[in-house]
Amino acid sequence: MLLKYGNHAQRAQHLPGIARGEVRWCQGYSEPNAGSDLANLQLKAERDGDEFVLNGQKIWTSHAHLSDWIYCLARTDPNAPKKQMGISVILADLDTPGITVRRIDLISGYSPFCETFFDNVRVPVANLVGKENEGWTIAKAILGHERSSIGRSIARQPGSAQREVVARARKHLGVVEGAIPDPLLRDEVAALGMREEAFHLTLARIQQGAESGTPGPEGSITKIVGTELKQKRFELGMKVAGVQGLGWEGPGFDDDDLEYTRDWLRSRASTIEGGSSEIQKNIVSKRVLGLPEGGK
Amino acid sequence: MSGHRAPSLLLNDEQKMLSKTAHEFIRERAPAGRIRTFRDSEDQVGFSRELWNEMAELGWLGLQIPEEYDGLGLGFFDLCVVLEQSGRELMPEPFVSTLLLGTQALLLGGTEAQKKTLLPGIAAGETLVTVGYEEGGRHGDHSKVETVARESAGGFELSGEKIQVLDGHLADRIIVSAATSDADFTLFMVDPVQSGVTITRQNRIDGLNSAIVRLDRVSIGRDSIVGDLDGGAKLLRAVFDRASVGLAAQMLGGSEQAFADTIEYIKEREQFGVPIGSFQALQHRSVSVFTEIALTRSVVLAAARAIDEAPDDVPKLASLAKATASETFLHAAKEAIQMHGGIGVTDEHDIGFYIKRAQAAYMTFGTPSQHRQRWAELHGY
Ligand SMILES: Cc1cc2nc3c(=O)[nH]c(=O)nc-3n(C[C@H](O)[C@H](O)[C@H](O)COP(=O)(O)OP(=O)(O)OC[C@H]3O[C@@H](n4cnc5c(N)ncnc54)[C@H](O)[C@@H]3O)c2cc1C
Repeated sequence: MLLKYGNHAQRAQHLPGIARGEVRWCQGYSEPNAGSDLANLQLKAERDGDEFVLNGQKIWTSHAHLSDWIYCLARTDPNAPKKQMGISVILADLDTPGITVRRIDLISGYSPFCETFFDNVRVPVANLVGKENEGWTIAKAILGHERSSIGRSIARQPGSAQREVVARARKHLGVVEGAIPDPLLRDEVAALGMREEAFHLTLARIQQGAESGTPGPEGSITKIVGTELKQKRFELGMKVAGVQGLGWEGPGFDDDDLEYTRDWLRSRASTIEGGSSEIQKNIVSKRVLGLPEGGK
Repeated sequence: MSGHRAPSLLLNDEQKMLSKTAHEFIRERAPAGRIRTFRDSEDQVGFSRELWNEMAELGWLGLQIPEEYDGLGLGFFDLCVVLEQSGRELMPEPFVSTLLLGTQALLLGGTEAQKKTLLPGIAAGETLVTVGYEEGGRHGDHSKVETVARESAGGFELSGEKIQVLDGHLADRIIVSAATSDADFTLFMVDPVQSGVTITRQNRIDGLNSAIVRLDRVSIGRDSIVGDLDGGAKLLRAVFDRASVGLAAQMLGGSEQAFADTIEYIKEREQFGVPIGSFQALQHRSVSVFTEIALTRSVVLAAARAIDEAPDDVPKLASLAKATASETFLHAAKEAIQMHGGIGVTDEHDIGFYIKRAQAAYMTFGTPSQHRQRWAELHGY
């Protein structure tokens, strides 16, 4: 984001630290009332001389407790005619007085996400990225990038989901080789394996299309398909484990199974974070299929 | 294929051109509604011989047939480009019987004499060759064959009955499976004019033409064997793999057209004062169909490519393509009817023909669950 939208001074100040891996950043987009409807965000940024005064709350800021800086979407013009207008991108040092960070525990027991509160936080106007009140364009560009990379990033190795589930089935059903004895289960595993192969071939086809200069519209569905595939993998991996998949911690469960169960729970977020599957489908309906705008 | 570099899944410039030409020709000359016309007029042929000849002149029937047999000597991939377009309009012409079953059986197992006699005629649109394998009652298990071939003085004597033999009513040759030992069967070339062959035309939902072929002590020579004696199971499996991929290409086309017609319809049709395509319930279901079609395109292209370039990958990818395309086509056809509302279930509207073809194609060359079972076996579980 800084590479593309930051000014010279901002790039000089921040990029070297990022490149060296010394300074960690988090993303402050979502708020309690601005999730899917991100443009509804309310974090207030009022101009006071050459400072902005920030008041409000962000949620789901990943790794905020471990980060040094945050880039936020803030409302700089509350009277703008459309809610997409009047939004700006502002950078803040998380050590600035008035910022407090509280961790969120997920159903998996992990807590890499935080709520971040802003109480009269003062940051220099020089921390504004791009033009004031024109932050929505930047935000959309970053989200687009994030979404197209999610499908690809969860793809892993072709065939790995099938191998993982088959290995778990062997372990828990005690069948060292040959056919999985339950034909219905085997059918589900094969359906997963086929889906995985189809997904990888589709990623390859998208890649080849892009390389040959004729990108097709399929890129828009990779997040939906990839996240559903991931969830299906964990569902089946849990199913074959039976009651050994029910452990939370402690005796009677091995570490691999405990971790797998936590990962299964974590996988439920994949169709929500980074734009939910429903929101993706809204976008594909309009942009790719050209269906008319309707009730939101 | 898993773990390897993906094959090229793009059409080259010639193939794009071929796809476009075929699309325009078929849309103009062979709209899906012809199926109704053939049915209602009780047409004796059930498809258009003229159109078939024209396509032969365009080179489409001989695309994959080697040049020495008067074909163009291109690949199965090229054939699939045309098959996809033929599927869009559910063409009842003998693509499956002659180009997929008959031609592939000849290419994979035919003797030089058989190929010389038949392939040039196929490329020219004059000869129809089909395969009779279905006997009914065994739900797609074609490994057990009740039709028998008894050795006789000059060769063999065939007795039995094949059902739903595609284009069996007109075929110049019918390749049939017949048991030759306890363990295996053999494929034999039968000329339907021979004594002892009775052909009874059948009518199916999907507009493809088929017939019951009854064999009553039909005498044939040893030169009628296609492939090896007692080698029928392996050869038929290989023919089915190719035919599955070709049929999957047709199903891909059928899915695309049913979907395109549906999207157009829901943009136009208004209820509650707005186009019904603005309703989110229909939008999200449309995206699901779009998604399935995108995945299907990838697997069909990969399987078609493997037939030309990576024979070891064919069994897995053929099963993947057939299973995926079968589910997608039926899904797309069901959604198409639902989104058309009442008009969608009338005979007057063409969209209903898609579900009929989808169901028939689903049941042909193995159902998705049979292919998933095979996939599991091929992957060692
Ligand atoms: C694990 C995790 C990590 C995250 N990381 C970050 C991060 O780093 N930075 C950040 O800024 N945010 C982050 N998020 C927030 C994430 O972007 C939001 O959770 C997401 O956009 C959904 O918003 P919401 O949770 O408010 O749900 P809501 O918007 O309230 O949605 C609830 C349900 O309603 C559906 N829905 C909403 N609107 C529509 C509509 N128009 N049509 C149909 N259905 C609709 C949704 O699909 C969902 O099923 C993270 C979330 C999670 C769970």
